[in-house]
Amino acid sequence: MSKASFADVIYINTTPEKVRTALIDPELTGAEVQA
Amino acid sequence: VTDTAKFKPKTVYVTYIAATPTKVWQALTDPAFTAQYFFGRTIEIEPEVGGSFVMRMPDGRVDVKGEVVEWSPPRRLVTTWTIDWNADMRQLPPCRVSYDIEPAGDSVRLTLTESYSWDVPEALLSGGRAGWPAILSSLKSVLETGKALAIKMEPPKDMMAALQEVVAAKPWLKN
Repeated sequence: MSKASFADVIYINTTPEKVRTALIDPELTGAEVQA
Repeated sequence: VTDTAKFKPKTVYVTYIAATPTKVWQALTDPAFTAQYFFGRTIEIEPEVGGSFVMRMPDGRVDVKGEVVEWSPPRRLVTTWTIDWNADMRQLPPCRVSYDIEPAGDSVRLTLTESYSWDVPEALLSGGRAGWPAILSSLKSVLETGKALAIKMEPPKDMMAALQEVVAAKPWLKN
């Protein structure tokens, strides 16, 4: 497996469900996202 | 003051924070703030170039020691770091840790840069690369919400294993 040359990580004080919603909800992303 | 001009960046982490540069500077230099987001560590720093810099663990033991290389509030803070809690770590040459605080719209772009004077192995960088995202995410959370993140972390096993080999070989003497 090739190794990533760049990776960014952030910790968020919330739940996995809320992060999932934030990633796919157009009202939260501000853009259309196809799930 | 330690000459760090030839140190090379090995780890860079950027985060954006909804706060003022002054507030971010305070969070980086005030022990009441660092105790909240830096795994309970308190900072002691003399506010001048050449001043001493210490991070203490919650039980008072010294975690990190160094000196202030640049003190430019509220834009840039540079210190040297020597990890003090482990005898092998104390033998490593100091690294340089820089915080750059830049306005970004009505927020702040905070850049953390960890730099070295020698060709440090990837395994030894793993502790910082695991720790900084947690520390700086918690700093962001404290400034934006008043609440730190509860994250527990141990030094990476690979790093501790590599440390003994590196200290025995002392590759920085060959640079």
